Amino acid sequence: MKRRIIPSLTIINNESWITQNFQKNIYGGDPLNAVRFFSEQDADEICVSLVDYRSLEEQRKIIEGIVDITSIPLTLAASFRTIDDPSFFIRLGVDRVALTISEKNRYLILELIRNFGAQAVVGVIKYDSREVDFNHIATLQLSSELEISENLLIDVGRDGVFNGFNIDYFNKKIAKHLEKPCLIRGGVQKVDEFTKLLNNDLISGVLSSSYFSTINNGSAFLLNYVKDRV
Amino acid sequence: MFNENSACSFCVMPNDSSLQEILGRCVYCSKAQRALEKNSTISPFSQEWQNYIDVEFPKLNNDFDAIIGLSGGIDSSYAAHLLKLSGVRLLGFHVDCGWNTTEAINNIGNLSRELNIPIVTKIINWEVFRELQVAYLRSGVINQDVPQDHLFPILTRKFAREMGINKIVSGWNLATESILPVEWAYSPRDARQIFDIGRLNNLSRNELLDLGVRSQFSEFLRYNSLNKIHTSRPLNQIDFHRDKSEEELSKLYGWQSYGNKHEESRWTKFHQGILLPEKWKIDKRIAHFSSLIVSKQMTREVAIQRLRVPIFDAAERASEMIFVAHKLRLDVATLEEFIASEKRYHSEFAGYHQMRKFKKVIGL
Repeated sequence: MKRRIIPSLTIINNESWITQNFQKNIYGGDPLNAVRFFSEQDADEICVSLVDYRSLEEQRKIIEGIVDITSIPLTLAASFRTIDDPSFFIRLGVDRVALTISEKNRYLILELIRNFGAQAVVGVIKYDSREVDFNHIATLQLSSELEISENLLIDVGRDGVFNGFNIDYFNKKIAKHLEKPCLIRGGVQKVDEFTKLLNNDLISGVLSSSYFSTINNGSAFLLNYVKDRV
Repeated sequence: MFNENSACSFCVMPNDSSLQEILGRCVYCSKAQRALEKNSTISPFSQEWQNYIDVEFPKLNNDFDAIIGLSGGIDSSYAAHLLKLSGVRLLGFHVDCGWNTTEAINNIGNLSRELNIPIVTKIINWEVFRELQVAYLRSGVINQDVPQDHLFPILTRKFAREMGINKIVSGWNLATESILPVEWAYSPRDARQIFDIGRLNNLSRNELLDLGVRSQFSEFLRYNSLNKIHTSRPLNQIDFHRDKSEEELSKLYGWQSYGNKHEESRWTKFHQGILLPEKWKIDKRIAHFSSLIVSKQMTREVAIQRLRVPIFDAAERASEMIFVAHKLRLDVATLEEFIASEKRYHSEFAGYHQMRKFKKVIGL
């Protein structure tokens, strides 16, 4: 699969936010304009995370808008509880849904894969590189057992802190447990970092929210996309 | 809309018989011509220009000499380029109300990077701003740009005060903006009217105050008399040429052109491309092109040729309508209704125009 650079948007209560360690940090205003920007910049893919996921009804309008104004592949991440909501969004035009891999979600994931195929599901694993050990090996095993096509590994500890992606931790602790390339997210700081990370055979794509929404290491909110600079 | 037969023979403004014609020219262009002639034209980076810079931007004991409001449009971008290269220490300020075009966003980023201008962005509370825009659409008045035009200068002055900088650079210039008929616009400074129209969408006074809406009087007191914050318009000092400047900036910084004047905002694009022509039968390009004709940047023939082509073709219009509807969280049908609905005049709502009557009564 092509290696991708994926801008990611976090939507809380219909408004976009840049998070730091998954907590609200910088206000981003309207998400639709950002989606249009990334799609006009010809991004490889867009990932939208609904953080305060409450019910289908409340989020429907904003996702409908996003699907209507962009034609590039769209991944939607949320803590779905029933099969109805992700199915609804996929039928609406969302290309893939991302949800946390866990025993609790086992049947939901199986059901989604049965209905829409393995390519429609991204498995999310959140870890924290500030911890000494990577204790998600069982989760990775569950992922291959469920035959999830692509995993997204999120380093919560580096999210939005502009410290650079913790590649040492990835190489030392995670790489040996990976069976196939995965998506990564957390901390990307510089343009050349994208090139370096994408040269790694175990990384199929890099996601970032803060990098694509701010300039000068988070000092000001301004959208940008790196495609022509990588 | 543009009608060649009734247009002025010098510019392209409609030349009503009711308006006095001087030497075969309409009031608009003859007035603009006189204003332009009074304007000084010094060439950038000459000794005279440097003198102007030294007087206008004295080096005080501050990190920055001036704040420049960057919209991503050509005027503010070119002003930033001129001043930065003349040694003025600039701090960029950008107000984002959710309608920036891709070109505008890239232009701001590129300028900040290439010219090494630190930039601060202020993101307006989108949910309240959206409600205010819907309220304006519902009101049916002509100047739908009031919310943004009201907030941008106020937020910039507020930021200047917070930073302790008393100079604001504006890209406004006579060369490209000398002509605008009063009946095509309405003062965006009228806070009283914003409160009144906001009420149409149940926006409270406090919500609007939080957004940044301020009365002209309080702004005057706060900034003109107490803090002495001044605005300078450096582009009025030079012979500002729009197309040449665009070319220069695109060579230097990869600056991207975005089409007609003020179309760095998608909202303005919708307003000038769909709402004004369809509801009010007004093509704002007529005024922009006429300004350019007066300052000898465009020939009348080219202007007429360009005016014959509508701003949007049918397909573009449809996709723009879908986008605007989604942004405002309306249906396309509702948006069409707003366009087709009855015209309302600014004087039908509360506003400073009522004060004029009051002033007359007390004999001011």
